[in-house]
Amino acid sequence: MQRISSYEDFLKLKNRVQSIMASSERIISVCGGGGCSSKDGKKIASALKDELGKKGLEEKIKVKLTGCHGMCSWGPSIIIYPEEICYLKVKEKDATEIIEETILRNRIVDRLVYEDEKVGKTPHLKDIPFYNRQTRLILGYNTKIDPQSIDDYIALGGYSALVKALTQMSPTDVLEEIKKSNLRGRGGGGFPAGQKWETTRNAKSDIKYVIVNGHEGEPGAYMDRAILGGNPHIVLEGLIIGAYAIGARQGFIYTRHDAPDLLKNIETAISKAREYGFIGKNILGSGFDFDVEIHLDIGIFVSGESSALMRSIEGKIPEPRPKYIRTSVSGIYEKPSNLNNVETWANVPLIIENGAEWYSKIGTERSKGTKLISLSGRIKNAGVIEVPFGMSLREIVFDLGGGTGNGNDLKAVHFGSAMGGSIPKELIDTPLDFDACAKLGAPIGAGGLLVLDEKDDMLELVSYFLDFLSTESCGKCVPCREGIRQIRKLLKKIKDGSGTYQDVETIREICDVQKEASLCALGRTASSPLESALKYFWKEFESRLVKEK
Amino acid sequence: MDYLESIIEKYSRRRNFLIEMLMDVQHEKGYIPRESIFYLSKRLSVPVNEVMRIATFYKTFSLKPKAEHVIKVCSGVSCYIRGGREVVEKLENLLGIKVGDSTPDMKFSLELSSCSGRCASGPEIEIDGEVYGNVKPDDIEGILKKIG
Ligand SMILES: Cc1cc2nc3c(=O)[nH]c(=O)nc-3n(C[C@H](O)[C@H](O)[C@H](O)COP(=O)(O)O)c2cc1C
Repeated sequence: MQRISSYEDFLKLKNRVQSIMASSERIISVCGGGGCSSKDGKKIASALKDELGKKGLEEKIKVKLTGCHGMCSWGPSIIIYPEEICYLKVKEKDATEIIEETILRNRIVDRLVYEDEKVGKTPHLKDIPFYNRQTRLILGYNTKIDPQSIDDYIALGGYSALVKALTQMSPTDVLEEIKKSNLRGRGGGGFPAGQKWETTRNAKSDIKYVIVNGHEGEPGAYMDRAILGGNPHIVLEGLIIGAYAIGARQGFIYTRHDAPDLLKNIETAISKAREYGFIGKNILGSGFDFDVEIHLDIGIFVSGESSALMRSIEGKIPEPRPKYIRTSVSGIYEKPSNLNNVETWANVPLIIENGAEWYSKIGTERSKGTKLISLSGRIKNAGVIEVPFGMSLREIVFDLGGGTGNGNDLKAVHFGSAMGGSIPKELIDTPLDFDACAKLGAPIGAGGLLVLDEKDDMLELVSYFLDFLSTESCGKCVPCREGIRQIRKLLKKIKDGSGTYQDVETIREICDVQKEASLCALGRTASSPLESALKYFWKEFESRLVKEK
Repeated sequence: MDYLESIIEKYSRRRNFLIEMLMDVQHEKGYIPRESIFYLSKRLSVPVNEVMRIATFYKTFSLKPKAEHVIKVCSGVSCYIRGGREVVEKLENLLGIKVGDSTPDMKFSLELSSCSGRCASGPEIEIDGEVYGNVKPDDIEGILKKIG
C-alpha cells in the first residue's frame, strides 16, 4: 500500500477513492451497530448481496455494513442512497422484496417505512423527525461508511483536517484554533479542551501522552460506542492532530473489553492509518512521529476516571489518586498526559477543517457545537442522536424521542447517570447546555438521557444508582466506600416505611461529607441523584416517612 | 503452560499489558487458574500479590471455573427500570442460585453485566453470546429449556 507523504499524494488518493465511491449507482447502508440487540445486520447485508448477485447487480450497487444509524428501537435499519430511503425493523427475508421493488422498480416497500401520527408514512430520511431535527456533524458519517474502510472516510473528507494541520499549520496554530473554538470536554466535566491541551503542551517533559477515554461505563450511555464503532477514524484523526499540537508521540485508546466488533474496528483503523502513513514515523513528511496502542477496560466504572484510567494503562488496578497535581502534568508513568473523551476527539477534525469561527456559530454562548445523546428508559425512539447545544430538552424528548411511547405521562429526565440528576417535567424547556443543566443539579455527564414516566419511583432509581456505585467504587477512600453504604441502609429503611425525618437529615449530612472529602469525582458526586430527587421529588420521600407524633 | 507463554509473547512480555494477559487467560480457560497467577508473576517479575490484586479487583475476572452456560443479565439502568430486576429474581428462583454463583451441576452460571448499550431492547439477557432482548420474566423458562 502506498504511504502518503505529501499534500499532493493525499489529493491524488482522495480523488481516486471519491471516484470509486461515485462509481456505484446506489449504496445500501445496513446498520450493523451494537444498539439493535442482534447481529441481524450482518445477515441482512449478506442476504442483500446474494440477491444483488442473482440479478447481476453487485457491481453497480454496493451493500455496506455500517456502524450505528442511531434509531435503535426501530432497528435494524437500512438506508438506500442517493435517495435516502430509510427502511426500519428490516428482516433478512425482506431482502428479495427490497431489491426487486426498490432497486429494480423504484417502488417503496410500504410496510418497512417509518410512521407516526404527525407525519404519517414517510420513507425519506429528510422527513423523519428523529433524523431531520438532528445536526449530525459526527454521526452523519455513520450511515455512509464502512467502519473498516479508511477509503470511505477519506472519500467523505476524512483525514483532510490532519493533512491541513500537518502541512499548513504549526502546533501552536492548531492549539489556538481549538482554544478559540471553545470546545469543551464531552466526558462529563465540560472542561475546556484547549486549556487542558495547553497545560500538557507546556509541561516540562520530553515524553508526553495523549489518550482517548472510550471506557463509557455510565449505564445508559452508548454514544461513544456509536462513534468508535461506526467511524473509529474520526477519533483517531482527532487524536493525531491533538498529539501534534501537544507534542506527544505516543497515544492510547482505552476502550471496552466486552465489544469484540468495536475492538476489531479500532484495530483495523489503526493498521490502515499506519499503512497510509498517518501513524508512524515522519507523518506526511512533516517530521512528526506518532503511534497508538489499545488498552482495555475490564468492567469497573471507576476506571473511566482520569487518574484511575492511567493506572490501568500501566497495568495496575484503577485506583484514583488525589489531584493536587493534574494528570495533564503528571499522568501515565508520571508523564504529562492529556485525556479526552471519544466525542471530544471526534470534534477536533471538524474544527480544524472548518475553523473555530464556523464551530462557534453552533450551540449556545458557553456550550459550543453538537452533543451526542443516548436516549433510554421510557422513550419511544430509544437510540443515539446528535443535536446542537441549545435545543430544548422538550424537543429532544418529544420531537425526536417521540415521548414516553407507553401512554404514561413524562415524569422527569435524568442526565449523567449515577453521577447526575433528574430534571422534573416542569423544567423540560431547559436548553441542552453544560451550565444550564448543571445549575439544575442534572449535569449532562457524558450524554446518557434516561426518561422516566409517572409510574417510575424515584427512590427505586436513586437506590439503583447507589447500589451501582457501591460495587463500582474502588473502595480506597472512606467517605465514598462507607458513605454510600450508610446512605443505602437509610434509604432502604425509608423505602420500607420505617424511616424518620432524622434519617433524612443524616443522609444529607453524609452527602455533605462525601462531597467534601472523597478522593475522586465518583465519591464527590455519588450523592447527586439522591440530592436532586430530594429537591424535586421530596413528596415521594415524605409520604414514606414515619409521621412525627 | 504453553498457552501462557504464547499469551505473554503476544504482548512482548510487557508488564503494562498484565491486565490484557489475564483477560486472555480468562478467555482461554473460562476463569483464572491459580497456577497462571504464579506463572505470570514469575515471568513478568511482578509480585504475586499484585497479580492477585488485579485478578480480584476487576469484576470481570473469575477465580472459579464457570458453568457450561453463562447467563449474563444486563444491569444497566434502562433495563432495570423496564423490568430487569424481576428478570434477575426469576432467574435466581428458577436456577436456585444467586447472582455470581453456578448451579451445583455446573450447568448454569448467573452474572450481571455492565450496560450493553442496547437500551432500546431491554431488559436483556445474554447466554453464551446469544442476546435476548425485551425479555419478560415469563419468557425465561422457555429460554432456559431451549439451552438445555
Ligand atoms: C467514576 C468516573 C467515571 C468516569 N468515566 C468516564 C468515561 O467512561 N468516559 C469519559 O470520557 N470520561 C469519564 N470520566 C471523566 C474522566 O475522568 C475525564 O474527566 C474525561 O475523560 C476527560 O475528557 P474530556 O475533558 O474530553 O471530557 C469519569 C469520571 C469519573 C469520576
